[in-house]
Amino acid sequence: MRRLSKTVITFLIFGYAFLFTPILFLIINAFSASEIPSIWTSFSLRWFEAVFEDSELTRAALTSLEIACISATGAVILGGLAAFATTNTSSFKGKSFLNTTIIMPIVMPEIIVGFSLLMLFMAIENAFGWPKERGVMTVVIGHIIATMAYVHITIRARLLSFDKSLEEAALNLGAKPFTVFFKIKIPILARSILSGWLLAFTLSLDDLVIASFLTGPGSTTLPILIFSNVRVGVTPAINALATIFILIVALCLIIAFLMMKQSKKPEIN
Amino acid sequence: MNRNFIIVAVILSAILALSFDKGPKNTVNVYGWYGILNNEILKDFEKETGIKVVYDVYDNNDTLESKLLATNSGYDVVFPSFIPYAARQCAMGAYSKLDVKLLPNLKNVEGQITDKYKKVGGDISRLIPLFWGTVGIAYDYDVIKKVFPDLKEVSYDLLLNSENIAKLSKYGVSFPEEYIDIFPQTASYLKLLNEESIKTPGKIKAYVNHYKFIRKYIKKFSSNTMISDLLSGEVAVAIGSSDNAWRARRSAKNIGKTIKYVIPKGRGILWIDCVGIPEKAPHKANAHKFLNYLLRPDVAKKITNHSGILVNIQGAKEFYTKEILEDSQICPMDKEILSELMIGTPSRTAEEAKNDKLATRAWSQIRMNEFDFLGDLR
Repeated sequence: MRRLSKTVITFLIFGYAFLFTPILFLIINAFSASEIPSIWTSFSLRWFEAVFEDSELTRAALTSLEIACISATGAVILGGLAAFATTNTSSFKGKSFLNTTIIMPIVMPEIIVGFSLLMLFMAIENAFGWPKERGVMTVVIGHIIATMAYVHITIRARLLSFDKSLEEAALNLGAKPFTVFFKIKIPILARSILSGWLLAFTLSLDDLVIASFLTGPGSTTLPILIFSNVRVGVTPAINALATIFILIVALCLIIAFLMMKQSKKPEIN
Repeated sequence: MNRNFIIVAVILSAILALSFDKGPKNTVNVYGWYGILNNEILKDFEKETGIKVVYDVYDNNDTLESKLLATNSGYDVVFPSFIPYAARQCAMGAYSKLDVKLLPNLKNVEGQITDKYKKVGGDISRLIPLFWGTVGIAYDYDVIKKVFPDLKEVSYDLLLNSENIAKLSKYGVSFPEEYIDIFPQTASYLKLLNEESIKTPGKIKAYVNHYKFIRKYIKKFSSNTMISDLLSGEVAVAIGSSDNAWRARRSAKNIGKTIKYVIPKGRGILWIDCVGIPEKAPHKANAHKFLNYLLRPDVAKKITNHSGILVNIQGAKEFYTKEILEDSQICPMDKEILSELMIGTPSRTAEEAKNDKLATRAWSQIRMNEFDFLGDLR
């Protein structure tokens, strides 16, 4: 392996500092005793206690996770199927049109997606009496629409470089199309499906605009709650919650890394 | 493989179905500011009545308004600010008439604040004026003492006189976000208070002309970040709400600062937040029970004691903590101070609505430091 030169290392340090200092500050201040997130007084774990005592905060965090999980799964199913359809060898009428329109939500401002969906739900409610009120489900629908395009692009990119001869060979040997799909395509695509899911999950967890249009009773998400904090002043409880989130994410990444290392070993041998 | 696919599909749809089924129906859906109704208040209500409280939060009045005016918000109890939001929404028929028989505690909502509320057109049969506070000046005592050693009392002369504010500007001065929290004092300072509304085009022009000279000394326009601004030293003087000032003062003790709050004589502003039941609320009976519960002095005082927001409930004052009760500025009880507080009036005629818009526009132009639109004003 080549040693890195001093300039490269300096750039690297600055790059990492740029990326991670804000997060580091956030974590440090989670352990502060002061009531203001930006002022350090003394070490304390009171804000971690506060997170677990504050049922609004934990409920919002759980709602957000629930919405993110469901909508990421939905986006992977729909976006993935769309990717299969648009990369299929057999061409059909309107294929390129579908290809272009499916990524439209990426360039569409979220506020338009949110507002138009609100209008749609209101119109449907007037016509059929459903949905009676907005809630988790309407937010999920909004998030699937917004994130599907990203998943579609991720999976489609992998599918385009997919070696078709594998599929053909399996078919040749008598496998049914269903078997080919689950035994050949899905395992090969697993990584891009996972990254598409994670992308959709993050986008959904992060979203404020669409959610604030489509929420109803009992479905306050974490971003909405943090935003509404301004009235009483943001406390380091938010820092503590963010620290917990970062810890969980880091743990997942480490586990994924270890698992990948494990699965690679036999290949080397 | 086919079978596996079916199993996966069944599991997925079961998860979906389960996650959308939200269980018990004996609930009341409350939509309010974060942190105002704390856990204890909600839990006690659940214990007393067995009704589950679903508490959601919004970040500003506009969010609430858009939810209310859309066909069906699904909420049973909401807390709009009176001027201009609740007044406007009420006129549009967004709130249902309250059933007085179900609200025996409504008798607690009396006194000077309620009188003022009724005088400017508040309709207590639809919206109850529950929360109140004042807009005044919060300041870092040490800075003010250093800059003005001989000062007798803090007043708007410090902030609206260009010489004084120039001296303060290097320590940071913050003004409110909305014109309703600052134009009345400006009118009073410029001696423009009379029978006429404070929002005539002529008067607005005078304010704009005045701010031309002091705009450059104002560091920021923010109502919500006041607490952290004062504590971190970003600003030394802020015009803002009494409850924020109280919380800033409480936290300041821990970091060795002295924050004080004052309602400048004759130039204090009263703000009122109401509570009401939206017209299409799904659980109106439960909503009345919840309202009646909130109007109890021993419940309402909890709100004040942890947030600094005062409640307009007779008998709640006896339960306030010493810290709040003994501060005549945070918690004014003096009849004279109370009667002097100014409160905005909702616009009723088309011309008043036009003037409201003009005032909004004038203030946003001042905030952006653009004064070239003066020509539009007659």
